[in-house]
Amino acid sequence: MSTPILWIVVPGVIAFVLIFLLRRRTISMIVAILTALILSGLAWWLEVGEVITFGPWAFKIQEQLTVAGRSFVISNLDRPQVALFYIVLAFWFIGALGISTPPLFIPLGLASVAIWIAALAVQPILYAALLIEVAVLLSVLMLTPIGKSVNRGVLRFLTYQTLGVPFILLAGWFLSGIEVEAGNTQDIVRAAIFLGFGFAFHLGIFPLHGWIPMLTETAHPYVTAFVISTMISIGVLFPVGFMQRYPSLYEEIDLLDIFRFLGILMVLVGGAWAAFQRHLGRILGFAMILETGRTFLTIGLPEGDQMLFALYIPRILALGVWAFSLSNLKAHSEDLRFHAVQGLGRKYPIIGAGLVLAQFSLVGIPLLGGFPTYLILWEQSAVYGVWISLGAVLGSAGLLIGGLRSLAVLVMGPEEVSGPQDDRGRIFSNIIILLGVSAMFIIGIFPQWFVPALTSISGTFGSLTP
Amino acid sequence: MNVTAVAPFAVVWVGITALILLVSRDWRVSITALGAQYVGIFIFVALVWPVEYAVVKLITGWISAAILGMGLVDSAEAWEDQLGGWVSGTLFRFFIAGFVGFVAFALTPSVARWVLRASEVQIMAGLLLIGLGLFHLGLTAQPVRIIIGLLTVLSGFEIFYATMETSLLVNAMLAVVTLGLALTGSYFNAAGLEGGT
Repeated sequence: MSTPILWIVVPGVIAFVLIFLLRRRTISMIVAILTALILSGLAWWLEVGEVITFGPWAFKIQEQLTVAGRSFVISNLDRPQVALFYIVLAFWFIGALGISTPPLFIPLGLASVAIWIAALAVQPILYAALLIEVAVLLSVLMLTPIGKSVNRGVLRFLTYQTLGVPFILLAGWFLSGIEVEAGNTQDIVRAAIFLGFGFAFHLGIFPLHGWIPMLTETAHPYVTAFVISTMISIGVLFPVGFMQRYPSLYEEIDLLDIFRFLGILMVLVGGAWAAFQRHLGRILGFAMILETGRTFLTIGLPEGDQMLFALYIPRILALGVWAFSLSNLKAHSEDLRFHAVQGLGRKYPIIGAGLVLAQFSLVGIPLLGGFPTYLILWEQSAVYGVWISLGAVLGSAGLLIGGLRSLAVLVMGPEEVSGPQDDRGRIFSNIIILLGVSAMFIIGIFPQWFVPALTSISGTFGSLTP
Repeated sequence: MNVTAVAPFAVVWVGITALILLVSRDWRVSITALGAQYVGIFIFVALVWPVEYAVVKLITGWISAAILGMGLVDSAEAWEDQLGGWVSGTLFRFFIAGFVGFVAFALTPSVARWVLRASEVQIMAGLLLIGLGLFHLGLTAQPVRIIIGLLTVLSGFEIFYATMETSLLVNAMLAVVTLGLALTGSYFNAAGLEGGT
């Protein structure tokens, strides 16, 4: 038994079996939630390399699996990250109990996270690009339910992700050349350029960000939020991993400066565009662009690796509650443009509150989940110049305007709307939203319970400073 | 078979097939052209790889074309696209193809300094496919055509990449991606058909 078998192959096999249970949605969801929780628990407690006795049996978990000469490695240092990814997956699946999601969401969601973890574990790292593409293809299937024509957002998403693959493969090839012939400046610069283009396509870095709002506008909000937030959260670890593995990238180019610049650019773009949108789904998309920017900004800061994981839970929680509320709203109004959702906040107050409070949490409003970590981010970024900190705050201000406009539209209908008509399904959804909002407040009010544990997760990514 | 001798003709061959993909309005012609394109790719890959390995590209490409074709048999209307007027649309695409051909020809010496192990014909064919594939992507919103555009771009890249990376696993995974894209294209047709939307 090895860790890659446990955290990559086993969930992959379970996901495959779940495809045959598409018609039994509840069973499929419960199995997937339990799987994610058990895998997360095992990642938290199971010591790799130590002999484990189980009754008459004793076995040792190896950290490496070799396939066709290439290895997948999940060591003790990686376990906290794996635990975090699976607990977050369980969070998304639990949320899916309260809304109608495409049938393939559960099996392919489980499979895609397993593949993302495989991409993080594979060595040499250049193989990751192809595994990411496989995860993208699964995501495309999740985003295109049977019975509905493929929408343009999904097509744009697939196109951009696929175009990113060759760049990362080429970067990997140039970097392997650097390993052989150290100090080859030309190859280092070429590798950095290709790597930059590759991840610009993958992570939707400005100006290649168009697919994100297009996707959130046209596809299922909850599934889209899951796909994009997974890409931001796990995908961003790859450029960091490349930098860790090839320190010569640092020596020739000031990558941290580039990360800070890209970060602030995306925060400003996300915030500015979010302020002027007239579609609730597109605001979510630009909030995700803003979050990608914050992530890049964090990488560019000292001890950014620790901050990276501290941002993770508040972000996922807010995006989850936002997307969940939006999906509920979409069940009542197929069109999420402002003119179509006017007054729906009065008819569905808890859904409306969940949607707006989640936006405010991502803005960094005090008492909500995002505030403690964003405050640290703004403080630390000020060390590199007031303009960086100011840009980060301006981006949040843009999202705040978007949130206030959403609130105004949801409560100010052209005419009176009838009062709430709760049914059993809606009560369950409301409970989930209330739990999510409560969690956002708890994280915001008692950050000392969460932030220290999350900052210690950085594991193999260690310090990013050369 | 001496693949080196036929390589210059293969440049013309992949250029013509990519051009047909760009201008064709009949899905049967396009799928045939896609299959034929992979013959050219096989020739370029066989210049640097043993034939028994290079043939994997050919088989993968043909299977991909077959998967896409089977998906279109029941939904030929899904192929319909806004190609513009017959004369103006086709002329426009010919003009673009000529432009891409010119750019590929002009860029070949520069790229040769980067990709040292690739011959000029491989670089020209790779650039031609990448360029025409990208234009194809830019000119259509039809799902299967987008998949064909992506396959064309990836094919161009694979010609370069075969000269750099000889790992069989990487190339096997590239084959998985090619087949995955074709299956996704076929799924797009099936998903749309099921609900009739």
